[in-house]
This record gives sequence, C-alpha cells and structure tokens, in this order.
Amino acid sequence: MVRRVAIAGALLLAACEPDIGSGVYYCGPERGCPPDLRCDDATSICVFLDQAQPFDCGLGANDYEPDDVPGEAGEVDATAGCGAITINEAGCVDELDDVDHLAFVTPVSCDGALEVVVRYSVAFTPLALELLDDGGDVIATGTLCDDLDEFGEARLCASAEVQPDQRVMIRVAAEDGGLDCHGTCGFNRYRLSIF
Amino acid sequence: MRALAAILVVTLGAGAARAGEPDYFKNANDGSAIKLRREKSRTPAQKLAIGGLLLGAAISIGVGVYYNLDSREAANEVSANDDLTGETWTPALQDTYDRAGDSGTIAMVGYALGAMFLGGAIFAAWQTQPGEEQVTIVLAPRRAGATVTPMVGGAMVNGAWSW
Repeated sequence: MVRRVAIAGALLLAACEPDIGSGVYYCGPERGCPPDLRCDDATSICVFLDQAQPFDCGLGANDYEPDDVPGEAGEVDATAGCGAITINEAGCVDELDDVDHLAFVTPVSCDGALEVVVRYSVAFTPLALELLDDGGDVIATGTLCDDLDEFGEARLCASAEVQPDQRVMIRVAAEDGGLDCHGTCGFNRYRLSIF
Repeated sequence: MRALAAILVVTLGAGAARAGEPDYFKNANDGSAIKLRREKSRTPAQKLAIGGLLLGAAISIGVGVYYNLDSREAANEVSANDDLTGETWTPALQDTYDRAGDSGTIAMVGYALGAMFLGGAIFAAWQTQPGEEQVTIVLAPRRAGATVTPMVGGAMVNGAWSW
C-alpha cells in the first residue's frame, strides 16, 4: 500500500519539463519557436537547428516579376471575381521594398461584388493588401479578417463594388511598420484568392 | 534436620552464585512507598519550537506540491511530440512554457525548505529529549484492627494486622 502511494505520488509530480519535438508547431510572429528549436523559413514550421532552411519564395511565386509598379502588373489569364470564377495565385514579397501588382478583368456577368483574400505566414513580415482601379487609384484596403488560423497564417480581406468587364489591380506589399525580426525577416510568401 | 540443612545449603549456595549479578531487590518497596520511573515532559518552549519547525515543513512541502502540479500542468499544455499540432508558437504558448520552468523552480525551493525544516524538527526533538525521572508514591500506613459481626447465638470476631 505504501509502495503504491509512493509510486503514484512520484508519477503525479513527475513530467514538469515540457517535451516538444521537431515539426509540431508552426512558427509564431517573428519566427517564434520553442526553446532549442528554430523556424524553418522554407516551411514556417519549428524544427531542430540542423533542419532549418533559408527562406524560399517557392515555385512560381515570382513569375510576374518585375511587377513593382501598376504599369508592370502581372496579368491573370482569365476573368475573375464577382462569384463567377475563383482564382488562386501564389506570390512572394522577397524583401521589404518589394511590391507585387496583379491585374485581372471582371466577368461581363459580374454582379458588382468583388472579394480578395490574401493569406500569409505570421512568422515573417506582415503584408498589406489594396485594390486599385485601372487608373491606379485605391478602391479598397484589406483588413485583417483572421489574425491566426490553424496553419499559422493570417488573412487579409478586401471587398469592393466593381463593374462588369472592369480591369482591377491588386497590390500586395510589406506592411508599413510591420515586425520584421529586426530586419532579418522582411519577406513573406502569400496565397491570393479572388472571389 | 537434614532437610533444613539442605535448604540452608541451597539458599546460601545460590546466593554465592549470584554474587556478581545486580541485586534486583535492592530498592525493594519497604511496604510504605512505591518507587516508579517515568519520562519527563519537554518544556513549553521546546514543544513550541518543534511544532513550529514541523509546521514550517508542512507549509513548505505544501507549496512545493502546489507549484509542482502547476508546473506539470503547464508542461503538459505545450508538450507535443507526434504530428503537426496545427498550433502556432505564439507568445501565449511561450508564457506557458516559461511558467512550467518558473513553477518547477519554486517547487524545488519549497521541497528543499521543507526538508530543512523537517530535519531541524527531528534534530530538535532528539536534542531536547527530557529523559526519565524517579517518582516515589507514599502509601498510607496499615493499622491492625478487629471487626465484630453479630450472629444468631453470638457474634463473629475478625482481626487484621500487618507485619
């Protein structure tokens, strides 16, 4: 009886040291990871030090470069938005000064409601989203509609009233004044969806 | 006559054989008093000191257990070793991780203090053992006396005396 009580007491009081393995947590803001782990910039997952890789935009994310000005915006090869066709594009802001422009035309059956969502990892610098008309004027600014989802990402949402067969541009850039790990993580990958 | 001589020889011989042994009847009651040995009591100050040390041990160990359990709970909240948890390492999780460490440290300090108090209580109890004392209980002297009980045809007389 005494022996059982002693064993139960020892088990109850044991296991006070957190045990965290590699690859179980997404990187938090500014590459946040548990002690003894590092943020793998390629996957935004906390891993052992020897498994951490440098940042990589990923395949096809910079296909539209250079697109830093509206006049050089990448063109989407299909009409998009207004609930007709959903377009998904991968993009990358590879430095703090990088700006991406993407242009598309709304379908002729457009009902006037355009919605754009940008998802990006919270581990690196936060992004900003704007919708522009063909003249380059801002018609909508993205706001944070989800600060953290189950994939370690935040979402910016922007909506605007548009006309059928209207050319619209999307601008994605690093957020002014956003956290950037003291200048060492001024980059981010993103996924853009046009609804 | 021979029997009496044999008894005397046995008695004297047994006495001689026990010459080197302690005389257990040395302090035999003389009929008027009883002598006893009993443990003495500690002083109130000694009892207070030992009680205070034991109380300190209980409190320290209690604090240790409380923070040990808190540390274990925090550690379990953030521990993960299998697949991707779907969670992000936020500042809140980092605070929980830190809490596991801080509570664990407090628990260890509590256990150490508890052990010190307990050791002190045991040492104090050992050092303040009061020992034994002899107590003498004086008996009331016996007196000789007679009792008379009337009966049919006369009376019964009884006598009692001591020697």
